[in-house]
Amino acid sequence: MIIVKIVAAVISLIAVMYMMGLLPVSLMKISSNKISNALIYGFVMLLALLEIVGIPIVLLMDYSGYHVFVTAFSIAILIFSALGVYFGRKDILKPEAPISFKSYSLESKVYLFVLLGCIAFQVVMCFLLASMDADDFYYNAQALQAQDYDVLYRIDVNTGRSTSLDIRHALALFPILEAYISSVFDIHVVMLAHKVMPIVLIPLSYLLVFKISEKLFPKKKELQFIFTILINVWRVFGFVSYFTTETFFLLRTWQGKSVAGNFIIPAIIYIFLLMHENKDTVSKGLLMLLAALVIASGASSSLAVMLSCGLIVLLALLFSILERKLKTALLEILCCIPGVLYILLYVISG
Amino acid sequence: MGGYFLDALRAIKNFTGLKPLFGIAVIAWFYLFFREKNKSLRVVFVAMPLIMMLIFICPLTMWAFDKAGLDLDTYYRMLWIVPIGMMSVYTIVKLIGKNFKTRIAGLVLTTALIVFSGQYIYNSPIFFESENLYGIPQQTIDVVDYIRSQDSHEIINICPSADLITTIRQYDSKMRMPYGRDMFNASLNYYHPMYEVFEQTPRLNFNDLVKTGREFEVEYYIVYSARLLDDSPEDAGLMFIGEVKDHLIYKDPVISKQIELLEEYY
Repeated sequence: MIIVKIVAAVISLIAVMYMMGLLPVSLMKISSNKISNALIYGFVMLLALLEIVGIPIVLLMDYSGYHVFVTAFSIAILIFSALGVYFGRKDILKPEAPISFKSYSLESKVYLFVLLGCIAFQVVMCFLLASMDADDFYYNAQALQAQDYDVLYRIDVNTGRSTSLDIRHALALFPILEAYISSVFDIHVVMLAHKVMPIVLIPLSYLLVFKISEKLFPKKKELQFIFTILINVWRVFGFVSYFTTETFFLLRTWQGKSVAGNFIIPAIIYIFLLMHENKDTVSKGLLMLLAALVIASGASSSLAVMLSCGLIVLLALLFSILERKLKTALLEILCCIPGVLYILLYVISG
Repeated sequence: MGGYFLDALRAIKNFTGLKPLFGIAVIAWFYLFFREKNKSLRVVFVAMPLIMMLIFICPLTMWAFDKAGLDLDTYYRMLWIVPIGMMSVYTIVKLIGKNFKTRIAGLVLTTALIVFSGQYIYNSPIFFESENLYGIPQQTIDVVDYIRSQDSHEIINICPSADLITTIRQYDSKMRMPYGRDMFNASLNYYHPMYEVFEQTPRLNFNDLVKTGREFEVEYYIVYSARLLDDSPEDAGLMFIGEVKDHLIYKDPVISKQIELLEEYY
């Protein structure tokens, strides 16, 4: 029975990400690789919605915050999924093949199998092994407390007793997303975090890596696959310390910090590569996605917001020097406004 | 300021482990600095990493980080902005991508290079064999389930042994404890009399434990069976209610009675 729930949770999460992602894909009139783009953009939108819906509830509601959040977040997901389905209805009725297998050379097909095998290995290892990360004591307990006490970030995870709002962590709502999915599918939140979330987050991260490889090696499918395979290897053997993103990726896959280092930051780089492909026009859709990424980074931690904004400002300035275009840089830097508001909120509420 | 600079260097040393894998990244950067022609990629893989590293080691940055009230133990996360892995792998793939033979040979050799330069993460001592779908030790689940089978109250006050502290409230948040994981974080310098009596004495004295525990309304004590004891728990007034996976579980009937009286009153 639990296996059925896990499968249902994974399929539903992917479906929701896809449907939500169809909205930006359709509005930006992306003509190719719609499924992969939709999944990535959908995840960004999911995290951004989590923050937009969740932060006011966390700050304003001392009691009953969790069930209000569940209701509000469900409505938000339904609205944006419906909008995605409406605007992307042509893609749903006539979907493109997720992998254009027939167009690949034999060499590419072999690399694809190796790549899928590497990803499958990491997902399987999440089931075979468990990691004793001390921060789970905070994040998983906080998620479970939200469900059990209907209170958000107002119970001390050490003792289980009421306390004042833990503003240091309260704006980073990734554990509450896990609590939400756990409630919807009736899976214990620790099980969801340790075993279910990696099934989605690990392949999603590699999908993003593959999308980046498409910009690094345009039209060279073999090199794109080799790049992604070697990133796989780098992550599995990148345990040079407990501090690298590679270590966080496989040791703490389900934590917001890992999402920050292995999805948010690479996604910002990806968006910049997309934006500066065509130097003549500024894509409003990509700018909005960049702003959504800044909001989404808040789901990980306040430091992730600062890192995201810092990276955006740095890349914007460097590209403006390269292309001698200040306007684009200013628009990109303006995407950090949600991050500035987040930090102000953090400071004021503290 | 000099202190901040040295701390930043120390953070880089801890981050990279000074392992050969970091050397690959440095070599890759230099290659791209001299040979990368794509201007966008020069921004992402050459200029941005260089500026980021300079910002990182600049004492003013760490000073500002500290003054902003941020935890200096997390300063290293600024290095996450530098795409070390992607930069290194991109350089290697550029070099090996010419034809089928170089691709195959390069893929195999690069894999071997990364394997021998890095460290296999699944050998980390933090990983252990997963005993269940929760990903937490089975002993935690068994202990909590056993106590729940003996007590129908919704909220239960327990004092578990140190090996269970970090996982009990992940499994059951309605188990309350006098202290948690933060007690083991030396940098926080917390004090709790229960912790002092329960964990910081060479031999556990149940009379002191129960006397202190009653101040904090602890009803159940979970003692690791190998713990050295100074006296008998029964002499201190505790009832033995079971042993679960090398953990002895005791109940304080005085606290149980208090709970019953409170329930009658309310």
